[in-house]
Amino acid sequence: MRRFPYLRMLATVCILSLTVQMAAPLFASPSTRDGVKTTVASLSTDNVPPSPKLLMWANSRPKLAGSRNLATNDLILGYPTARTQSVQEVAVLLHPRLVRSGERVTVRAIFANAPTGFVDVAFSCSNGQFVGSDGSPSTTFTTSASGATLRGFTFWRRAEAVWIAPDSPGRVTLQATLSIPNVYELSVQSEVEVRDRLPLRVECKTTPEVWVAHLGGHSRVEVKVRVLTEDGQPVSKAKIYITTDRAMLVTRRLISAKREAVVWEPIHEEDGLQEYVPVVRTGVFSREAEALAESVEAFTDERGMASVYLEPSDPRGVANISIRVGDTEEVLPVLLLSPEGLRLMFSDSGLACNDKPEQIRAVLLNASGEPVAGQQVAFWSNRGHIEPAETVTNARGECTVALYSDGEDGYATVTATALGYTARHYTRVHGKTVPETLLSPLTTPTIRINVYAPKDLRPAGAGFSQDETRGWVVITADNSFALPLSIYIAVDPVPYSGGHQHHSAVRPAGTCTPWQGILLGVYCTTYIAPEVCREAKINDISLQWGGLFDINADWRPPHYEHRRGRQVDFSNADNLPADLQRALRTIIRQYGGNVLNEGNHWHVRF
Amino acid sequence: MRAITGMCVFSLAVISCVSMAQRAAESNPPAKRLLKPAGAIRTGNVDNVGQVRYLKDTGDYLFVWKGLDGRTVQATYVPEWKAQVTLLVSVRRESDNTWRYLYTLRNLPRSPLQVTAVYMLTNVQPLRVWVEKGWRFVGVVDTYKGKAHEFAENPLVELSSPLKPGGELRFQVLSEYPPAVTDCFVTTDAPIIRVPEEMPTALADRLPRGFEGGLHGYTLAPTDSLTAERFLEQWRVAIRAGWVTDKPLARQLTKHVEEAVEAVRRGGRSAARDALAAIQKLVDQHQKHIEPEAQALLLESLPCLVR
Repeated sequence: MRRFPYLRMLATVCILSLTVQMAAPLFASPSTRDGVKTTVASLSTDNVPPSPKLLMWANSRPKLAGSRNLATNDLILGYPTARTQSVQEVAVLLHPRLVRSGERVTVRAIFANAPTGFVDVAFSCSNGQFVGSDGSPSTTFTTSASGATLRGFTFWRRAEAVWIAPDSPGRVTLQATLSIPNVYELSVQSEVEVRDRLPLRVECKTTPEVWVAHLGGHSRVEVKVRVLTEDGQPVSKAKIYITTDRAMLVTRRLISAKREAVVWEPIHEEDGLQEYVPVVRTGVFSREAEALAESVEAFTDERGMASVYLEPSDPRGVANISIRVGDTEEVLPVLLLSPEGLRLMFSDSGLACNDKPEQIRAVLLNASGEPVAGQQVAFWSNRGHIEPAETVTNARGECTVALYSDGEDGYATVTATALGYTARHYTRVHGKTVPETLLSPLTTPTIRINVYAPKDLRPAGAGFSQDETRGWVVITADNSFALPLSIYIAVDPVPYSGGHQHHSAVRPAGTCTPWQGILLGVYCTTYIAPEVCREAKINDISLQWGGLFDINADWRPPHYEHRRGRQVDFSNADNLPADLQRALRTIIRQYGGNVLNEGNHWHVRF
Repeated sequence: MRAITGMCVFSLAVISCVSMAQRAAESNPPAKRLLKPAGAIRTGNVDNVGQVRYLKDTGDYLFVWKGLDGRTVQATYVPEWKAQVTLLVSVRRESDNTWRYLYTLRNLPRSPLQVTAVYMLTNVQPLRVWVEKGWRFVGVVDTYKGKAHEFAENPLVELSSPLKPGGELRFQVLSEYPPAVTDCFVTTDAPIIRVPEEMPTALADRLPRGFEGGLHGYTLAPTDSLTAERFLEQWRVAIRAGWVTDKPLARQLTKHVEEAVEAVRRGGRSAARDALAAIQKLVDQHQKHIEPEAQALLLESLPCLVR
């Protein structure tokens, strides 16, 4: 294959992201909105968990007697020899860094590994105003945070608010604070520069906005940039410089062995000629480097858009991506998370009552995102009591315990430890029976949407068996009531092969059967990939670890010529579409070969 | 009735004249028509395993050998050089000290094959490239001949199609470097030789490999390594390629080019400028005998060398 560096381009597969759009629910709820559009990261369902690995804890087991009603800190101090390592709690604010005076701006706060349960986020600013839910301006705005889950566990939470910039230019500090009063608080701040005029507007976003190593189906982060004029017209052929303060590898399309990337892309059409520019000239940085030595150069296309790919080298913390177009510079923070550690989440109501305990689920994953099975997990709570106080993770690295009320009202801090990791969960505990209003669907504050589908799917005819799959959409309210909703499913296929996307190609979407209906908790559909193209398959070539190919080990026909070690057979080349057959021949000639069609395969000689 | 007959005879005569003119034009190919490789395919017996025959009526080659079961086996090879292709290039100096190379690739109407890609050997990364829709600039690619600019039909767009007989493809390259003479190659969609069973290696070795099976020629492409010696070499190639159609003029121009190059070698700038002025005058006087490729060498590359 060294002789065919571009051969991989012939194969095209589709990566799908399912977009679920809900129409108005069949009955009203104050917290559900019409036309909510949610894009959910595809999750793998065919990923069989690896066999359990036995991890030894060298330290002696802690004594758990009298764990109830002890302060969390006391418990941690009770293990002088054990490692105590929480998953990293980190937050970012997403918004344009340059805004016009008086402009309305959407500000998004993302809190990673933040507490589960019902939490609020308060937005505040040093100048300008946030718009409250009733439309009235105020310097602070409080909203509830919704959780984003991967494999059923909340890795980050987000909240959104609209901020109106002040009429006078200057610098403004924005702040978002996720808090449970008197229990927990996590804040993040960032600055906005307000200007009277903005000749250029640089819009940028990343996909995914939060990157979790080994989970979620993304091996890299795509940075999309759009450059617009003051009146919103796209600016084509604008040169963009992109840098990042974390060691990340630009992996846009082809990277040569010398780690130089020059990729020619059409950006513009004039007089019947398409204009090609080198999209990325340099773009490879040391994985070990703390900072980047060089910037990435890109050009916008006729839609004013450009994108590059960044590969996080260290999945912990925040990478700030700087995007500069002329004198205009935007900074886009990306959260990089490791799946490693212990996480807790509530499983149904989010509160414990006298007659109804709360189910608390824990998951223990290693740095590769694999479950750690057979591991003992210990639980404590400063309010109420937990049964059982100790349990063992199953093959999925999960275990479940119940939190019971002891008759007091308030917040309980549930702490769990395993393998030296600690995790905390904050939940409401009620002394009496649950108030009816808390379980009413009319007061449901959030709806969780989970889409389960394979992370990638090949087009039909590509020589792979997987061109059809079943996907499930599961929607549950926070109190586990299933809401009947009308639903339709749209598929957004991404032309993708060889580790890079084909921006110039249009791909058919394939079909979902059924694609619309009424969803009551779970909605199931079958997706069939479109037939796009086929992949050239090599069957006889020099052996992988060296040596020549000899089919019968006698150096005689058939395949006699393969004794030379410079021959390659393409078993299905005759079945490729005509344009791909021509492309394959062009590549063969480019590398000094010729072809004989032996009926059931192409015999290629170099 | 007589009038109608007369008209028919006249029409036939006109058609016949046009057809003869066409044939004459194609039997005297223009200077920019790409050529078949010099070696072609050797015919005759091959190591007692078979033979190669040239088929005069079609221009194809017949490979004959004794099959595994003792019976005679044969296969026909259609050479890619049956295509009739021209590649024209002119070079324009832009205001920002860059050069715009304007190429026109033509697949002549009587060509039996479609063109799928064109390569021009150079290792210079262009600043910009423009290509007609349906084709694409692949980039500066590695080939077994060295680095090359590759333009190919684009299998990723719906309008993708090889260049049909009678078709024309325009593409442009913008570079900060002046033009130099370079090799170019085209590939076509000639049918792949179909063999009923494995062809003996000695016989298969007669089949051309890589670009050797197709048309090749000379064109201009940017160079970042222009020297006096190389320029003189390239000018001689240009003369051999027929880029100056008048022989006495070619000799006169070559004499001035040699003077300019010699002056550059010695560091005599004023002598080089004198030679350059004489060349400029000749080009102005005899433009119709000097192809745009030769003009670009004389008026764009040589002044760079002198400067």
